[in-house]
Amino acid sequence: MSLAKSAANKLDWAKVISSLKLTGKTATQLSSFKKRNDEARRQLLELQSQPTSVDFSHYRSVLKNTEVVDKIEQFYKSYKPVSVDVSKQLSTIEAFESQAIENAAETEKLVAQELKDLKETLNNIESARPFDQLTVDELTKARPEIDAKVEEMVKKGRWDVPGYKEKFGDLTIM
Amino acid sequence: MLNLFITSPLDQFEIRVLMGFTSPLLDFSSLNFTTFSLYTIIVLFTVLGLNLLTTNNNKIIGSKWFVSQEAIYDTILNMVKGQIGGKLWGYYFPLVYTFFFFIFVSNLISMIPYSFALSAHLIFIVSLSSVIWLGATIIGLTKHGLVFFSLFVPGGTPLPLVPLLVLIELLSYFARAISLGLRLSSNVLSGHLLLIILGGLLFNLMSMSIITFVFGLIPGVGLLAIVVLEFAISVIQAYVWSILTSSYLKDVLYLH
Amino acid sequence: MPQLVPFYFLNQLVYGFALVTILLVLFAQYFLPQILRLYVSRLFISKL
Repeated sequence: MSLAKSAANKLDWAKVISSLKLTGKTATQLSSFKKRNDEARRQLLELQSQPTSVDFSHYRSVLKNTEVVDKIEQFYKSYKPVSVDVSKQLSTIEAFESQAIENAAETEKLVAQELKDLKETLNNIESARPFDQLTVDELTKARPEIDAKVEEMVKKGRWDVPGYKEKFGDLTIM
Repeated sequence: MLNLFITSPLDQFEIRVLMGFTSPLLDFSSLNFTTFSLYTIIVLFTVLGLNLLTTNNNKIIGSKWFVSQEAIYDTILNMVKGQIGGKLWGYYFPLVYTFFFFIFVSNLISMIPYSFALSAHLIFIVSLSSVIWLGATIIGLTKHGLVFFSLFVPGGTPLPLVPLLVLIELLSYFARAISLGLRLSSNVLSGHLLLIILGGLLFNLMSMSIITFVFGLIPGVGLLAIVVLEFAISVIQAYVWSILTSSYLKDVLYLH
Repeated sequence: MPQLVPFYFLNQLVYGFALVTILLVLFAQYFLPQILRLYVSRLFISKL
């Protein structure tokens, strides 16, 4: 518990928000969470600063009905703060955190792959030549799936290209 | 001056040995390089040239020459798809395409004056059609087994007529082997004979005097029309051969 | 008819069938797949 507390104390909210560059819903959620955290900390401080000892002898001398004071004193002495076992929740949070880190790593990998593809496409676009100078060999070098598709079609005896006639017309003579 | 001896109009079909192979032990006469062999090689090089030199260096946009190749591809594709149909037509497309291209090119080469008509040679062409017929029959038998013989009984025949109809169908089926080749050969043969006979007559007429020369221009126009007709027959016969081959294949693949 | 001289029958068949076989291999293996590849490439590039 003390570990969680120290971590919560150490957390630099401004840095978190600025470094993650979060926007929109996530940012507002985070700021509301921060507000809740601040509130809790403030209440905790307030409570800590309040005195906890009660001068029962004073009350006994002042009040006539000492029985009530005795009762209250007994009640006070028997009272113990309820200690909540948060270790389970903490472990859940830790598991959630590791899961989140894993997800983030995966997302990062995906984004990197996408970026690479986009860069490649950009390169292709930049190095593209006019339509009437492009050869079939260059196209199949850039896109090997065309050759694979043609081989598959030949093997399966599909000599007509679906959608070709609609696009480029039919040269059938008879 | 008239020819003193009459050359037969059939001389154009004569095969001559251009380069012979002889051996005291084995008979190599079947490998002799003859007129026929020369024209097979001319056809081969024409096909190679048409396919290799027209591709516009493999560009996406083909050359103007390549339009002919695309037109033939589309035409044969449409024909085979329409005739055979189903799922199996694609496997026979290259075969039909080859026959079309071979007959098309050899017929057109034979239309060059003083050249040689490959497809007028009955023995080869009828053998080719018999091989196609035999291959189709084997496909049918392996594919359908004994059910293949239901091809000879048209659907909805009254029972008393079945023996007669089977006989007729069987006869017509066997006749296909010969008729396919004979149709092509006799068309080409008769066309070339007609051209050489009419051309010879017209040449004799026009070479007599100035008056007959001028007069001979009138039948000359008719001869030109016949030449055009022969070109049309060259192409149409190639098409007919391919369409019949496809329809025979359809018969044995799907049995009506 | 000069076509029917038996001496040349085998010669015709050897050369004729050799030609048809060579043409069949050429078309099925090289020329027709080339045309198909061209068609597929054209369709592919028009869809980019």
